[in-house]
Amino acid sequence: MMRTLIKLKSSRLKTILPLALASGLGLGVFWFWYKLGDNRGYAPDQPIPFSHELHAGQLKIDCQYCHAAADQSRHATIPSMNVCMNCHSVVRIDSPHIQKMKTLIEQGDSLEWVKVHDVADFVFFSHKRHIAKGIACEKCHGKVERMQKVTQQERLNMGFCVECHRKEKAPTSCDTCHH
Amino acid sequence: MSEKHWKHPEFEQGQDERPEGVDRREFLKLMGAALAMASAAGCARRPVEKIVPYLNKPEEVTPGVANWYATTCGECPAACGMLAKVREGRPIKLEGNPDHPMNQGGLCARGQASLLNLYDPDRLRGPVRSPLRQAQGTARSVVRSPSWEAVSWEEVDQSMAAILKEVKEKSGALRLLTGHIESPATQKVIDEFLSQFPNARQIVYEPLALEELREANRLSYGEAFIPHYRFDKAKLIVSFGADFLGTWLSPVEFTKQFSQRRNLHDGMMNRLVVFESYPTVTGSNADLHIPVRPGNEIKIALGLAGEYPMEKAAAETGIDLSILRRLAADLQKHRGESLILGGGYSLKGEIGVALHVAANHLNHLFENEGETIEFGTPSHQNNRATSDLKNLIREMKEGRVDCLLIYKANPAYTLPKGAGFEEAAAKVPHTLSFADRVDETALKAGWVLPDHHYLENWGDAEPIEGLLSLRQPAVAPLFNTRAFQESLLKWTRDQGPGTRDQQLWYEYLKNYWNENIYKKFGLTSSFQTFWETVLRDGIFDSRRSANTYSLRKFNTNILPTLKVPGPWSLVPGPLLVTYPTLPAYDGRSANNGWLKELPDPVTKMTWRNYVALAPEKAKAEKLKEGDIVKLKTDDGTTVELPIYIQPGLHEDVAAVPLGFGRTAAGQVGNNLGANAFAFAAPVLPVTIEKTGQWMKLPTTQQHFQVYGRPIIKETTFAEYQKNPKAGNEEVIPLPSMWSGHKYEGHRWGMAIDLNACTGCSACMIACQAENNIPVVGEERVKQGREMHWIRIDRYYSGDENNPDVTSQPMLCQHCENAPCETVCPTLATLHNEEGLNVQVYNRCVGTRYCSNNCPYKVRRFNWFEYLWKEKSPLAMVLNPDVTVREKGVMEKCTFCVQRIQEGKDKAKDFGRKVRDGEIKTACQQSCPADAIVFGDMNDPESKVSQLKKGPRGYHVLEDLNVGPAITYLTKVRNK
Repeated sequence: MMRTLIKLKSSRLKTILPLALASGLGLGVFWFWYKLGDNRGYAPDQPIPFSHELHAGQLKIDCQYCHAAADQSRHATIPSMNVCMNCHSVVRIDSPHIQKMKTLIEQGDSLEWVKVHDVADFVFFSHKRHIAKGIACEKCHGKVERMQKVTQQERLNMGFCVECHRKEKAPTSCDTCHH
Repeated sequence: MSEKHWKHPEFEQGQDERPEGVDRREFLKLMGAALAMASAAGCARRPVEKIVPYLNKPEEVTPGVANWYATTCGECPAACGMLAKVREGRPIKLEGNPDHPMNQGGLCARGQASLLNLYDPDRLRGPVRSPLRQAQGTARSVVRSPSWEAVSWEEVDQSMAAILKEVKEKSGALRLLTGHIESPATQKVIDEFLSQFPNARQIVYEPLALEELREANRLSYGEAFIPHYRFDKAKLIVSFGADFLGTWLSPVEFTKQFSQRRNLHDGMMNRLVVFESYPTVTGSNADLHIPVRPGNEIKIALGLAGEYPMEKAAAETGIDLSILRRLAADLQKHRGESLILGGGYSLKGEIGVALHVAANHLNHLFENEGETIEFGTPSHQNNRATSDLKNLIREMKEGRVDCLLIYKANPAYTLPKGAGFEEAAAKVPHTLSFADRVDETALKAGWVLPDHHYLENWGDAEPIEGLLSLRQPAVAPLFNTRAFQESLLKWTRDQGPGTRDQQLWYEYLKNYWNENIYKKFGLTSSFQTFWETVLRDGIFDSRRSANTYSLRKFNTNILPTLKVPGPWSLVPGPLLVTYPTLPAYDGRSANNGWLKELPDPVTKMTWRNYVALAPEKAKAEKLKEGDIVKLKTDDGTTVELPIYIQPGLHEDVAAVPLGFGRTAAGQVGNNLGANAFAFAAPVLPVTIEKTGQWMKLPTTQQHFQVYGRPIIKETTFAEYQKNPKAGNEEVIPLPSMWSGHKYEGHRWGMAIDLNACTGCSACMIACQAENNIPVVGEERVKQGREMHWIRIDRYYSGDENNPDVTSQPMLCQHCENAPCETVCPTLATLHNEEGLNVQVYNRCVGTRYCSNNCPYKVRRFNWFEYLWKEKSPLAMVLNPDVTVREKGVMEKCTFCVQRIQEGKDKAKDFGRKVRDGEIKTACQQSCPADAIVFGDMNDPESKVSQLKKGPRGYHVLEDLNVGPAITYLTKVRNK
């Protein structure tokens, strides 16, 4: 069979085979590049399984109770450990995760959270500006209050930013974000 | 030059000569891996970044928002007030305190660069000890092993308790050698510490002290003090070598005052006459600059005073008699509004004193006392006596010193070779140094107990009598260091085992302020309120009225006793003059890459020192720039240095900058140039021998002429008064093929007053700190690859041998028809709607077409990953608001776009428009001369618009019609 195939002096196959290979490779490369910066669905394990669904969803704790600097700074900020302990010095102190946190605090250590939503280092995004404009957190972060484990919902690439900036007539000059 | 400099490069850059990146095989492997990871879609992200929150967030800290702390600069004895910008607990930039009456927001290059010393990887991490061994036979001679062992502070305190007890019990001699102590509270700590010993003394030694000025004032007015000078009141300033705009006494304050009378805002302008023997910043700003042979200044000064025949003075100094006559007449005309200054640091000894007395006499004759010279509020900057050091060395040599403590002094480096400090130090059984590294002096010590960097320490200062400022820590100590004051207090009061916290010193300082300042002024608020107010403001100004003219009378009897010529001034032939330059000063921050790469404002040399010769002299000796010569003085001291040709020098002068040739400064500052402190005196007869060798000099500017192109426009004050547009002739620009941009909101622009700019280069360091600009190293500077976004171009005009100098800050001009924008193939550089020429690093592929097309040569290319391999903790100095650029990317001045964003952000918070003057670029903020104005050119009322329209406004290379957004104002000379 192989032999016949190779022996076949079919000009069609001679043309199609390399073409198919090339286009396959091309598609692969395109897919690779396309996927390269796309982190949608990224949901890393955190040091303790903190549930936004419970805290923000069921208990309806305001986002800024924990992410307190979101309206003052570029960074929304991860709450410092004492904010957790505001409640958890009384609430569910028997949970192993709370115990873990408590031990860390006693040792003078802090939890190492894994960053989920991340833009490139040459992008300067300001939470403060967007909060001041009344843009809802879920616009970029998705429905966090329904997430057991925080997952990246949007692409958070330049196209994603610029699309909204164009729609809202926000500045689209390069130096708005890159400096 | 030597191999060392590229193999073992300056650590800021972390550059590497090896081909970087990956080879083909590795690339394929990586590609394979990347593909594999990408196929695991979505869950593969590299690198995984972690966020580690605070345990208990300090209330005043918000990540991403800077805190500013008012503190006091500790780089030089001037003690300017400053603000430290702190991000997430680490200082990232130093700025002058705008509320400080002295420097009013300005801060010099060295003050700003002292930030980098905080993160210097060569700082000691904790106290160290060199194991001692009594040598056999010679009972008191101590041989020290060069190896150092780390010790704990507890061990230090225990050992010190034993040593001090021993010294006390046998009434041994304890000596404390310090530099200038700017802090009154620290002085009290020292006094209290010394008072517990029967035989203890403090010796103050500052290598660049103004001892001659103090001595002259003692002779003239009966008290050794330094008055407060008021350059803002002086219409005519005559300096006989005092570099008051560069290194002398309080340069930032003086620049601020001086430039107020030079910006022509009220149509008035002062006149600066400089007689000098070595090239200084002040000299390059003179309206009349006269090079003199060192020692001849006194003849001119006495000639002007009528104490020496003017004809004789003119004949002996080779100066045109008419110039002196005119100057004498001018001084007559400006009675009470002139200021005469004596010599600088290099004129030492009797002749230095005599020159200051002569200057005092002139000030007395022309009634400047109490007008431009204030006696009521004397300066405490650099005012301590220094001459005791010789006695100390003698004592040490004779074995009469039992314990020597060294703080803020490096005599092993700054003393002449023949002073014998090192041999003397070997005879002291217990030597302790408080240096932050094992420097030249600490090498001779048995213990090195590193002091905090001043940004980690508490303290205070009284630069001008009655003007008090506080120093507060801007960062927790990075290493296991301890404040000098804390150590002394611990050893004064028996506190048991030591701890590292600053509790004792902090409490002491607070108490000192309570007892000596708060109570003295009988303030109504509580002490805590007072203390917190001063901490917030940084200063407490208790000067009641600025001009309390005291009863000090000039003692004219002193004049006939002056010995006019110095011992060397009668010897014919070349004289060596060693002098401090603005970036290097006395070499204290020699390990600071920012300062090493900062071009000297006068010579434009970086990284090393040289012998500056006048062009005529170099020609006569058949020497060209870069020829290495051997300088030899009578006592046999020899130094090899390259020649640098410097117009404006006297023919007989061979000027050598101080502060180079350190051997134990650290990885950056070691063995660069030669130590000019090695010579027995700052001025000496010298022979110059050729060695036949040559080296390329690391200068940043090779051409000093404008060749008739419209780069510098200048005129004289007389012409300006007739026609304010003088010198600023219209240029017919090339026709434009571009339609131009529309600016609906802001249009940012800048105006730079060439008349105010002194070339002090503070802006260069401000920019470097603000914009994460790397240091590239000496070899790269020689290749023209320095990275400064703003540079100071220096141009000469007029007489070739004694030219007029213009300093021109040159940065991206943010052109309307920018030539760089049209050639960028990736649109990485483009025009934004506010007139900025923005550079998008992530788009840049590094073709360098833009740089090639830029007529101003202000674009900088990253040939290496300069900032990637920095040694810890240097990376902590980086500004998190500015991208760190990588290899292969073009960069340039952004008009501090991050500051523009911050300003707009603030205005939006308050729902208003950006106010004029609210946004300041880093260079503008730091400028002690207020030469730079930034603002919105679309606002006709803004200062920058006014200046642009004004008669002196012009654009550099206007004929090219690139439409720069920077307007320069013509240089006006008060000839």
